[in-house]
Amino acid sequence: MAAKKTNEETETANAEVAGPAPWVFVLMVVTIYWAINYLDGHGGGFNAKVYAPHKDAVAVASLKVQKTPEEQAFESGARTYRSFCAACHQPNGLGNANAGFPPLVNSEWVLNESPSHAIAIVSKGLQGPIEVAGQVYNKVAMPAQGVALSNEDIANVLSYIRRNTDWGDAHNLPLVTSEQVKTVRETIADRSAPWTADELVQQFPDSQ
Amino acid sequence: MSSEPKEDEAKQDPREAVDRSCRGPVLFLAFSAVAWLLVYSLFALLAGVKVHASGMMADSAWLAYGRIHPASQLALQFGFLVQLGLAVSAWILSHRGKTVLVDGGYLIFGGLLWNAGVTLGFLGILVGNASGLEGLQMPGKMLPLLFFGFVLVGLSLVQTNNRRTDEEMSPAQWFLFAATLWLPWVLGGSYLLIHFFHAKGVVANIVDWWFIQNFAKVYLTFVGLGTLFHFLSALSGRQLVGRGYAQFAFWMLLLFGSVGGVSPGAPVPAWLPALSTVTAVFYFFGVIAAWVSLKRTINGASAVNDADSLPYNLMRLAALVFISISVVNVIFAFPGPGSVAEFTTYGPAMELLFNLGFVGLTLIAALYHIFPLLVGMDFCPKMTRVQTAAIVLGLFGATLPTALGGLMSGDAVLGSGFYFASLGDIFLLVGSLILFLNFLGGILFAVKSCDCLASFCGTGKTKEASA
Amino acid sequence: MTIGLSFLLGLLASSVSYFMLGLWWPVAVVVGLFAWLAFGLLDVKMDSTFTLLGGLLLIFCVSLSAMVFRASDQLSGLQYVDTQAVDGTEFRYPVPLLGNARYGEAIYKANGCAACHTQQVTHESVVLDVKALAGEKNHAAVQEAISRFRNVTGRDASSGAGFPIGEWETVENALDAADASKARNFLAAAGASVDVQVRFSGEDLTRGWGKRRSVAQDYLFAEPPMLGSVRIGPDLANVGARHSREVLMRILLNPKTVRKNSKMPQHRFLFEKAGKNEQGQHIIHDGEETYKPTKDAVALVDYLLSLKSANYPLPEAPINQPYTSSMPKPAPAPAEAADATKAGDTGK
Repeated sequence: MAAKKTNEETETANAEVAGPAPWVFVLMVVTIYWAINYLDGHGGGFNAKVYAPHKDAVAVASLKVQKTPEEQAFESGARTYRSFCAACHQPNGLGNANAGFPPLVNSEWVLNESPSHAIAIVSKGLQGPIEVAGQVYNKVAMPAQGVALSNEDIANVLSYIRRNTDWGDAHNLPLVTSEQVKTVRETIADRSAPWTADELVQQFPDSQ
Repeated sequence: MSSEPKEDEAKQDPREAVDRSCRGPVLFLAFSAVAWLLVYSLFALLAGVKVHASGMMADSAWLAYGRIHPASQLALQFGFLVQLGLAVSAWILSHRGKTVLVDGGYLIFGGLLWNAGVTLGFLGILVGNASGLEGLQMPGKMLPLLFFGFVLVGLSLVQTNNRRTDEEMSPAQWFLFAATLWLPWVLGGSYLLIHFFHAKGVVANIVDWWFIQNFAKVYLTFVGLGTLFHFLSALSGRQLVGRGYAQFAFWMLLLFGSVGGVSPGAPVPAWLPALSTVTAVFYFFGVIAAWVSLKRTINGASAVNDADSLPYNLMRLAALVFISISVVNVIFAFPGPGSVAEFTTYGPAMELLFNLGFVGLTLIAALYHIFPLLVGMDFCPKMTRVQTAAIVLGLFGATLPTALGGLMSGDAVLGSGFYFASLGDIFLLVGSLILFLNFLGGILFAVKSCDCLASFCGTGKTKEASA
Repeated sequence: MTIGLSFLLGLLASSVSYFMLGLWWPVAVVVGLFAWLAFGLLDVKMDSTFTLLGGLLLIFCVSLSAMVFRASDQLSGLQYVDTQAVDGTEFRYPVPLLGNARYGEAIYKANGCAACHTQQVTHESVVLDVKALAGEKNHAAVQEAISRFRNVTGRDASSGAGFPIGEWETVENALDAADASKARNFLAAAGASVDVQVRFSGEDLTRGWGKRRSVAQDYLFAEPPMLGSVRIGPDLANVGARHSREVLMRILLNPKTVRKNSKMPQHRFLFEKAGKNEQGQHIIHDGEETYKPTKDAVALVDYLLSLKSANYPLPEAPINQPYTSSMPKPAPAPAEAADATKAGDTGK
């Protein structure tokens, strides 16, 4: 059967052109203002590293566990120790008597009030016999580490071995600062040969 | 066209000519679309069954849930919605422009390419070559095929629109024209970015979400709104009211619908979900404007012709679904409610409601109106009533309980609402089967009883018109 | 078009360019002025396809650049970062998929596991907890520090009295970053040992699906990241840390034997029948049948076992850092260390 034809569109030129009333556009502007604020609060500054629900990169950074400078120095020193010192002095600081590596644990050279001895040894190395905790070690010389380590590295690693309570209660000394290291290294800058124990005591006659 | 008076003939002749030019291409696309709808409902039901009876067909890799689910979505979106949208667009653009459909052959050839692409994509997913990205699951190699198929069809549509007799375009034409251009751009852009330039890591997902957003919020919405703008005014006999509203809606929906679609918990920097929320709010302005224009146009009228009351009412239902979904969507675009609904079955349910309840219903209703004009043969009324009821019931049954269930559970109880969804799927399958049969039957009857066969086969002589 | 309306549209264009596109502000102002002029002076009609086409092209470019290109600029260049495991060992993250796992990812993709499973962990908030340890010498100072902290931040003004000696005790929970920093400073100045822990909270984390939210860095080597959008089954971002090979095999074969109410369909096609008396570590008995996994199943499980993201801290998503201070280590929390509480351990 022939389908009935319906009245298809007959839009004349006089079709009503009504558009949204002006208040709609005011509402749009208000919404734009809301949108700007929303993006400010939730958009994370369009930063690639800010994920919801954080507000900005600063908020994200502040979430990292804030370590005190002391703790940071200690950890940095621990890393340096593992890389440079642990091979001979062992990770537990006890050294190896058979091989001739003196211990650092309860060592009077380490636990001296003034860190000058330790700084000097690390910077220039050590040769000849040295008595540590009642035992004499004379098998190997200690190479100088001063070339590879900066002042700050030396300060940190010494802070580590002097404050590592895992090694003993006596290891509870204050931090070594890089200024202290700098001063000592300037004093001994001319020296090229490793120290001997006697020379050390002569150079830095601090109380033992 | 036998005993009508002369002046009617003069008035109807141009329309007849337009319908004649549309007949082959539009019917071909519409038939493929309806066939794909049947495929979709079958596979959706199958997928639902696998969730309840986990041991069924577990020995077949092709029927794994993770394969038939994306394949069914492909069938629905690319097989059914896009093709029926193209068919209806072709018809509307030629009628609105008062011109015959230009280069209908392109439509058919493009439609063939598109069908080939969808079929190969469908089979590709079942074989196991899915791309892994939702919304673009077809194997990457099929995308150029789909792209060129659509471009060919689009060429025909654009030329038809260009040949329109009135320079001034109506909102329906704006929306349909924009949709015809938008999908190939978005499809091509996604293909290039994902498969050709190999977007790395989550950038591929961002392109995918961009595509999904553009496909649903721009392309499908524009097809649905264009169809509504045409038919709601034509079938009710009213002139369009509020052209300015439609203009405002067009640009708002386009600008803000094309950005967004990132869920609040996504592993991307915070600005993407925030931007999605903001654009969703502005998008809603556009939706309201379109709604106001449509509402004022209809203003409570009913269809002029009784025969059109079914399509007309279906379209009003679809418009209602659209505005309801839009309201809900803008609420859930905010991260608070959004993270409750995130990852639940709410999302897929609302997507299905949008696809079938708004766009699908609109296009099917348009088909009810167009089919008799093209074939010269009405759908069988009883079958039409049954299939409509089945489809509508199935659609709401498959989506609303699932959406509610998803929301109520948060994600405490995974997969709630599935039982109802499967019931709804059964209705959907029945409905789409009947629609398919109805369509087929209509064509076969028409072919048998009129001289359409002659014009299909292009024989030189025309038989005497029977009765 | 009227001046007012075109002005508003110019304002809109300007805002969009500045906030969404991130253009330099003078450029955004120029864009706004241009839009105002265009809409106001020229008669922009919708009827010309040229206008429509131009508008469509412009908006397409805006949408691509605002969303896709900007994201790509930020996220395409991601490389390895250094992170550390719980025991402090540093390694490069993320670990690329090795060996069979890459093939397993293809199996995951082919079978569409992402249709029911997500691979992204979300969280709701981030808070910090502060614990302190006071010794005998600094006990009074620490208590005073706690009171001062509470006063300064407007909290419950009860003093720090009653703070135990030699025992780790919570000072305050659920602080924000600024307050936690203040607490730490006060307590450290008083000589106490302080432990500030970042705690992510959210349902996913409570369920043990990860230790933090997923971020883009986690998916550096995924091809593509199959994030999923529905959780019909649990999230799999960290499944390698939760389940063993045997459990995963069994879940694939017959999920209901592992979880009674599972909605996951059986994936028997990933397995083949084994002889009745066949022995071996891969054999799975399911009722009366015996199965052994195919190469696909083995690869898939390898892939699943390699999914261990959302566990390691990243700059954009930090988690609890292992405590590595010079100060004595905190005693394990009572819930985690049953033997500590049994022995009446009072910390070190």
